[in-house]
Amino acid sequence: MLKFVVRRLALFCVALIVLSLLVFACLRILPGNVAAVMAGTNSTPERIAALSEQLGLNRSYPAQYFQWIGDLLHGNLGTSVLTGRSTMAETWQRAQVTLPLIVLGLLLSLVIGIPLGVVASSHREGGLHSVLRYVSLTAGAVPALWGGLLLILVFGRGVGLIGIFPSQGFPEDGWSSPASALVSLALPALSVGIISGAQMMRYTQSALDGIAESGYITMAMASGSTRARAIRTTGLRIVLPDLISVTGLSFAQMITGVLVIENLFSLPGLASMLVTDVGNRDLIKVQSELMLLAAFFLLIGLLTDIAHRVADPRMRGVGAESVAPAQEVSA
Amino acid sequence: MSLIIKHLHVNIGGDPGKSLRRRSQKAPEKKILRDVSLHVADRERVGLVGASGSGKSMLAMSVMGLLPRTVHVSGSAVLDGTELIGGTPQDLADIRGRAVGFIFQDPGTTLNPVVPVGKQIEQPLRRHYDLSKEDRRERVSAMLEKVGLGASVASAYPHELSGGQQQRVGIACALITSPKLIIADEPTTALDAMTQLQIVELLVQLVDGAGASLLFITHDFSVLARVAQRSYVLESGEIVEEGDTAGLLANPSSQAGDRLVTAAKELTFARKESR
Repeated sequence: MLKFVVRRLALFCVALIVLSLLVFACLRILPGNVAAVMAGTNSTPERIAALSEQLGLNRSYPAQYFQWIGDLLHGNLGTSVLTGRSTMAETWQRAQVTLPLIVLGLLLSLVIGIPLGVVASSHREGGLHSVLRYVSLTAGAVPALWGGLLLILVFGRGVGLIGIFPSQGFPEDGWSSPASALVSLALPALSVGIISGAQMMRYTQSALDGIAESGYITMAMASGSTRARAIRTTGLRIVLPDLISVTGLSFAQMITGVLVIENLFSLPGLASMLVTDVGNRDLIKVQSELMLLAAFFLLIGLLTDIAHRVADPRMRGVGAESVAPAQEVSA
Repeated sequence: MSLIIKHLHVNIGGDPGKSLRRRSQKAPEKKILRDVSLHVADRERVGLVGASGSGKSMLAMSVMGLLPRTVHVSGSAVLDGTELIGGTPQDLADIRGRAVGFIFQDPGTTLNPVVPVGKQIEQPLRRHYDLSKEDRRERVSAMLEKVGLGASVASAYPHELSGGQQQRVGIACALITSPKLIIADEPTTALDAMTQLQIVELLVQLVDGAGASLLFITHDFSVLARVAQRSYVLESGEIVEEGDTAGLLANPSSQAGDRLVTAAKELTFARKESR
């Protein structure tokens, strides 16, 4: 296991380096000079030259790259050309909206999806199975924007039928008043969580259906469980490693998926920051933001892989060496 | 503990069940078992032999409620005065693992691959008895010793054990609660000849030691001869012959019995020749 973690960490570092090269190269390969793009179409050559000088863009590419990586390693993401604010400070501030939104959405997704998936699979021979299947298909097919709008129309304060949750913005003082911060994330998290929960439910149901008639379930029943209980306990434990992988993927999807939701609910999050910065052609800032986002994706992948290994003992030997040979125990 | 099965019928299909109500989805009915009657007396070892597909495993599974609800079971199966057919899922679950222990054909596909075997042997105790963790652990260790595995095996996962060791774990799972009826469904089929012999002898020794009854299901007469005092021959879902195992082996009266005995003899002869 330790070997696997070390190897996976090494791979993580290599992937980070490759990604940093890609992000750096992409912005330089694009047509036009970075400084010219940032300065805008009507800017004078003097303004472009000054900007190049200010951002160090007149130096060689390797020098620029190493300067950027060195700054990143020291936690310095640079400053915005437009606002003059530290990118790190702004990213951290925005992350305090986006990350709790993703975590809440994911928790809702798990709380909705896994129990309903188990219920659906436990009632394979009844009508409930089909009903829940159609519910999950329908809910999973709802676009996030439309689902969010519906939630606003039902629960949005001032506009909804049962106006109990705020539908726009985030408290200016952030998490210093946790209750109001949490309440303002309720509808966005529900929008993300319900759709992702439907997918999680479908996956859980499908995975459990796949083993519901297996010898593992028969064995659990032979030990004294009903079929429903065997699916709930033994079945869920067997498919847990797969559910961990799907959760990791959902987390990664949500990072990009919250973009629409942040805009719909006017949340000052990371996704809306990235869109604004791209629109403002604040390319050096975008470069650091993309790098952070990519690193976060990789980190989620790393943690998911490790959790998968922990949950599935059959995988622990794989990758490091080979599957452990059968122990010879004196018979 | 005695098990008396009378006029057991098992059908698949026909009635589409609640989830498949449309006529177009109605599957043709298939009879798996027809009017099967058999009797396992207290402390008796009984064999049920038949070719693959004859319905042997379905018999044990249907009586103990291990089949899905889409399989229709009728007739009677009385376990020490308790009627099993028509019992609720909870009633049957209360009997399984406590009064009746099961040993399956391939432990590689029945033992939970992500849980240590000690925890799996513990399962019937957890389900049926209110014991402390230490008590359960002690019983598991003692059981592992009984089946010829060290107590240290408790922390191993199924994939870390050989086929023979896995089947010993399967036997430990079935016997941990000292049930009075053991149903062994082809427990030696997935094993090599030497391990088959070890497992059969271990099973007989443990069943007799516990004063339990045994229903041993197999397609192999050569194995049955070592286990069962009395045997039934099943062919295409019907009992075609019954009697003491030695008599059946010496002089089978049914075609199915004759084929199985001949196959067992030829196989034994071939094994001896190949040595």
